[in-house]
Amino acid sequence: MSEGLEVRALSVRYPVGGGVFAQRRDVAAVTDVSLQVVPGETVGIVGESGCGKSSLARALVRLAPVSAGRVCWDGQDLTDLDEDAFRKMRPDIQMVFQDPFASLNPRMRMADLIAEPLKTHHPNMPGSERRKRIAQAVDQVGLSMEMAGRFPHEFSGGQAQRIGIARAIVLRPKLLICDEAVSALDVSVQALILALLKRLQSELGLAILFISHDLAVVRHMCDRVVVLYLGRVMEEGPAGALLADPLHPYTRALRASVLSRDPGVSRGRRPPAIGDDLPSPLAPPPGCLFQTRCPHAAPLCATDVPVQREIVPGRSVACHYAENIAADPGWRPGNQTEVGTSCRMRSA
Amino acid sequence: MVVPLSSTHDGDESVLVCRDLGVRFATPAGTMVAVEGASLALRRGRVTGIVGESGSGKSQLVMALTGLTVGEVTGSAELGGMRIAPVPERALADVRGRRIAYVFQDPMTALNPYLTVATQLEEVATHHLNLDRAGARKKALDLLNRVRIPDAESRIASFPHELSGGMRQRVMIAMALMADPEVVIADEPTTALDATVQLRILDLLRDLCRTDGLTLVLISHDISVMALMADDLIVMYAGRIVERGPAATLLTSPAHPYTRRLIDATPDLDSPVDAAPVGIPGQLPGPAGPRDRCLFADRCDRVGDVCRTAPPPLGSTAGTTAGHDVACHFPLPADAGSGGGA
Repeated sequence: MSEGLEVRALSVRYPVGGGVFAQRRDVAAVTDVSLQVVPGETVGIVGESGCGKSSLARALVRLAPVSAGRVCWDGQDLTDLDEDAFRKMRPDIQMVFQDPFASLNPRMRMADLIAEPLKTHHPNMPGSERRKRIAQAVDQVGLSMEMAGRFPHEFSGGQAQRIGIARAIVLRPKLLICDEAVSALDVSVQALILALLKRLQSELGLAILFISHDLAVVRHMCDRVVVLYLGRVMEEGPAGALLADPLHPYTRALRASVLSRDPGVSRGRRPPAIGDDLPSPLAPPPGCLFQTRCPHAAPLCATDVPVQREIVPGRSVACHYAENIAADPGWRPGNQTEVGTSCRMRSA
Repeated sequence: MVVPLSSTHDGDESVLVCRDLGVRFATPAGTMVAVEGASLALRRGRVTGIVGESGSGKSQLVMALTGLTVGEVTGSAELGGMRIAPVPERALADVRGRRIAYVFQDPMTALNPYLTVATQLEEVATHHLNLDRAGARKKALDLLNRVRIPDAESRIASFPHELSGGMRQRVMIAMALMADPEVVIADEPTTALDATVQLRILDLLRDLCRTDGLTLVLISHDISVMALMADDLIVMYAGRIVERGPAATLLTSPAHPYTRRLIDATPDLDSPVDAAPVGIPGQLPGPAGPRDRCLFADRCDRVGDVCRTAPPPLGSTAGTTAGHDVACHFPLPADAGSGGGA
């Protein structure tokens, strides 16, 4: 029985179509994803838009349908719990969303916004205790109870996100799921919220699942990183090593696209040799999902799904040729006879 | 605030010059100042970056140049010697889209979803350049190739929703170039795009500047985008230009404390792991607040009494080189305070 969050071979599928003419089909948003987050640890989920980051997060709290796999919390399997039992443990897992103004009811005052989760999950809590918990949460996120009567529009973006975080921690959760929680904020505020999350983590021993498209923020925040592409794990490992020396061609392309605030570094960046376009998730390519954009794609990649395997201690990657590419970043398969798919290798 | 423009008269390369430009909104709650005292000169064939956070006035400034703001515009702007702001709406028909073209952040809202790429591109050339359909089609195809849209001959018949976000932004850039503008203003052109696509679009814009001599104004909240793209850089805060000069100088040896703090707040994967981004406590002053002071004073760690009583003029200081201006009573000395940046 392991402590914290354990996700085993999770898949999320959404039905699409099913109108008068359209055939009802399923789109796979997340396929076969396994990961663990232990108390005090921050695990980052990265990938481009449409890679399944948010579907994965939402599936953990039943906001997206789980079609296969298991979600376990502190050794307890949540997947088969009935609604009542799930609600009982739901305070343990809380979410912080991207847009604080969209996720806060504009007609509720700050104190009521933070009271709402308490009233939902602890309806019998005495008013005095509830007020104490609200004041504590407000203090923990760096706001003041003098603002208790204000409405969301009277707060700045950073303050509104602090309210969003207060709503999550007022339930004393053990796992915080941050879904692009700082992406909408200006950098001057973003850095403050990141520091707040780190402080809350050490004070409360939180496990954090940190979903972000920003690799620089992820390196700063996370202990380990999981890289998703079209819903599958491409690579997983310690944040520092994975971002300093990525193993999967997709992670390499992501890393090579990150600009620096140093002009000397940024001006040396060249676009990675991968195509712009994500394949449609309705018609994902056979074999490796990344083969249509991969500069190293070989015939095997068009037929066989690469298995995620550990090639460096603590680091795993789902690529048939990860060792070859690690040894020689310019590695190409010797004989290119494409099998049934197009392999676009346009370079800038 | 009267500020001499260092590059206005010498060399006379300036395509667009604006002096003391302001944008104000009269509201029931009082007058809101969006932009104040902005003077700048765009040099031909160069990328001028305007960086600032939300509410800094960077978008309002460039929208005021072609009457796209609903606010009241004060001061003046000239394009190739012709006054363009503030002027009556109809006087801008030959400027907006023709001599100054825009690329906006979200191509899905800027493109008409009911019309094909071909129709939308050709319309620009038939309207502004009086080309016939065949000539406009030829120009549209040529530009789609130049913005590196693969298979342009078939893509030109697509509707916007049939294209990916990156392709739509390429179409927007092609559309901006259709009337051979003298200045292209790109307002957060890659903010909605994934990093791999962002770098390709920026690389394309940079090539267009180099090979075609395009004069580009690039607006972004992202210091790192400026590090890649900008030749000249303008830093805005609360509606005012607080620092301007060569981008490489500003980004490595800023003179304004805000520029320094903005750089240090930006997460950077190429900095040492322990160089954590440092936030800036406090808030932007409201647009209706008092302006007879330095607007960054309440968040600044170099603040003195004078900062709260007199707005610092924008100009050169002992520590800055030619063409590098700063609006600060206590500017950072050259080469000082590299808080983990370069």
